[in-house]
Amino acid sequence: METVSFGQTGLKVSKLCFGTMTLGSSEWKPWALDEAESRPILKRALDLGFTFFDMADWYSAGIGERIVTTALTSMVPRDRLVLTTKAYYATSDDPNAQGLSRKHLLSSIDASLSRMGTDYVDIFMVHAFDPDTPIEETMEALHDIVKSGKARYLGASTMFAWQFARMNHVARENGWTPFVNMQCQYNLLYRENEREMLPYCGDQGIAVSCFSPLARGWLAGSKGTRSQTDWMFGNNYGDALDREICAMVKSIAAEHGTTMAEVALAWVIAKKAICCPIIGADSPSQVETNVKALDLELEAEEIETLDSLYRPRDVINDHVPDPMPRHLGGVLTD
Amino acid sequence: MEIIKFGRTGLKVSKLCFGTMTIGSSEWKPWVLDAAAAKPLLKRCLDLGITFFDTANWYSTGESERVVASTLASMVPRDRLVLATKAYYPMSDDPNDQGLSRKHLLSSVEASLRRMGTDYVDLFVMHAFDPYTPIEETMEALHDIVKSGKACYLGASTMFAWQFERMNHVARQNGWTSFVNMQCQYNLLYREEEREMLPYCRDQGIAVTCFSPLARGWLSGSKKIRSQTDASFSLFHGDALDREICAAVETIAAERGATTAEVALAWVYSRKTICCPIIGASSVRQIEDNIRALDLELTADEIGLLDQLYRPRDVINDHVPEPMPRYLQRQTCKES
Repeated sequence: METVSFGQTGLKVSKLCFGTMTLGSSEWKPWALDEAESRPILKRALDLGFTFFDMADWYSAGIGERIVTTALTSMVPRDRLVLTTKAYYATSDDPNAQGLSRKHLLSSIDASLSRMGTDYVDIFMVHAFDPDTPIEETMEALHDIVKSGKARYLGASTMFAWQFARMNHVARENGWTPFVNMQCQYNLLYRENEREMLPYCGDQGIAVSCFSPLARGWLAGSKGTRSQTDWMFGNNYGDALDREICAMVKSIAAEHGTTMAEVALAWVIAKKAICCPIIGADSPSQVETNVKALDLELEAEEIETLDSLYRPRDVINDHVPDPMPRHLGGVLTD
Repeated sequence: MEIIKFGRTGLKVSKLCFGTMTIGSSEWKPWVLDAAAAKPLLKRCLDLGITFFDTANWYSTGESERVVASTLASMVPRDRLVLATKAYYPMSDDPNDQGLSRKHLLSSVEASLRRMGTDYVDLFVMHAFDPYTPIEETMEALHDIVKSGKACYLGASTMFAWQFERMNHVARQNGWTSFVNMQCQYNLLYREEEREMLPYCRDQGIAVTCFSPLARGWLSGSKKIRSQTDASFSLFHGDALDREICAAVETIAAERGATTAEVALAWVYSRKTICCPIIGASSVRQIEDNIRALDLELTADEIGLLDQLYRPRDVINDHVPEPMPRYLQRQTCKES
C-alpha cells in the first residue's frame, strides 16, 4: 500500500488508516469482536501494508486499545506502527473521567499507554469539543503531553470548524502544540464538512482522516448485525436522497463489476481534501475488499454524477442529538 | 427606539440598522431611489430613532454613500450618527480597484470618506473574503486605517466562519485591530449561519448585524419592481420548503392581524444571537411597518412553529454562484 505524508508533518502513514472501533469486546456492543476474532483481521491489515491504526479509550471501554496494540506489537515492532488514541468520552461515572480538562487528559493518556503497553502514541486526539472546559486549559495540557513524549502529534475529531480553528489559534498564540490532524465523518451520504472544515484544513495544511466512508454500511448495502442494532444506522441515514445516492452507487458498481463498498470507498479515496480514509472491517476479507478499492479508479464523469446528487443535510455531532432527514420536495420523508 | 450596546464594544446603536442599498441612483438598478426620493425615507428613519446607517462603496457605485451621508448630515450632527461603509467589490475595471489589498483598502476608505463628506466612518466593513490577498496584508491595512482615525471599528460580511476566525486570529497575533462586527444574511428562509458563524460570534462577543430579514421580499409576498428584475430574488429563494415557510408566516400573520413582513421581522428581532437586524425600505410606509414589528411579540409557540420547519440548504455567497433548491427533481435512478 502507498505511504503518504501526513499533511504538513514529517510523519508517513499508509494511505488507508485502519479504524478499530469494531475490535475489543462483544460485551461493549453486540457488533464488536473479541480478541480471538480480532487478531486475524489485524494480521491481514499488516500483511496488506497498513501501518496506521486508529483507536480510542472509549472503544470497548479500553479493551479495544489493549487488544489491538497487543496483537499488533506481537507481530511487528512498535516503532513501525503509527498508533492513535483519543480521549473525551466518559470512561466512568466520575465527573472528572471525561471531557478535555487538564485532570482528565493527563490521566487519560497514562491509562491509554498502560493499556496499550507502549511509551507513546503517535497521535493523541480529542474525540470531540468540550464546551465546559476553557480552550487554554485543554491546549496547555495537550502541549505538556507532547513535551513529555507521551504523544508525538495532536489531532481532533468531530467538532465545528470555528471550534477547531479557535483551539489551534489558542495553541499558536501561546506557543503550544497545535493539531496536525482532523478526523471527521465523510462519505457520499454525509458531506457537510465540505462547507467549512475541509477548506480550513486545506488552507492550514492539516491532514484530514475520515471515518464512516461507507456511512455505517448504507453504502455497502449492509444488512449486518451492527446495522440492525446500532441506533446510528437508522438514525443518521436513510432518507429518500440517501437511497437515491445508494442506487447510483449500485449502478456504477454494476458497470464496473464490483461492489457498492468499493465504489463508495473509491469516491472517498479520490477526494484530494482527504489525506487518509479510515476503514473498518469485521473480517479479513473485508480488509481485502477495502484495500481493493485503492485500485478502482472512477472516471471523472462517474465522480461528477455522484457529486451532483448531494444536497445539504443536518450536521451529525453530539450537539445535534436528533439529525432529521432532508426536506424532499414538500414533505418530510422518513 | 431602543439603543443597545454593539457587541463587546462601547459603541451604542439603535436596535435597528437602516440598510441603504436601495438609495443612490436609479441608473445603477431600477429599484434604487434617487436623492430627492430618498430624503423623506432618511428623515423618517431619524424621526423614528434610527441612528445606525449601513452603506457600501459598491451601492450605486458610490452614489449611495454620497446621498445617504450628505442627506443625513443635513438633518443631524455627524457625531450623532453611526455610519458604516464597505469595500471589496470592484469600483472600476482597474484590477487594483477591488478586493482587500492594502492598495485598494487605503484608497477605498479615502474615496468613501470624500463621497460621504466626513472624516471618519464608525464601522468599516469588508464586504466579502478575498482569497487572493494574504490575510496579513488586509488586517495590517485595516489596522492602519483605524489608527489613522478614518474608521473607529472594523466589521466583515458574508464569508465562511473559518475565514472570519482566521482574519481575527491574524489580527490578534500581530497586535492589530480585530473585527467587532459580522454582517450576514439571516431570515426565516436562510439560517445557514446558525451552524458556525453565530455560535462563533457569540463566543467572541462579536456583534452580528443581519441583512435580508425578508429574504428579498419573499417573506412579505412582494411583487415589487425589485422582485421582478433582481436576479437574486428567484435565484436564492423559492423552493418547496421556502413556500411552506412563507405559508406558515401568512397563517400566523392572519391570526395576529399583522402583515407577513411584520411576522418575519418579529422572528428575526426575537433572536438573541442577532444584535441589529438591518432593514431596508423603498417607502416611508415600509420603514414604519419595519419598526412597528418591534412591538409584535411572537409567542414561544409561534416561534417554535416557525423554527422547526427549516432544513439545511446551500450557502449563499460569491463562492457558490448557483445555490440550488434543497431538492431537485432529477432523472430517477432505479431503487435498489
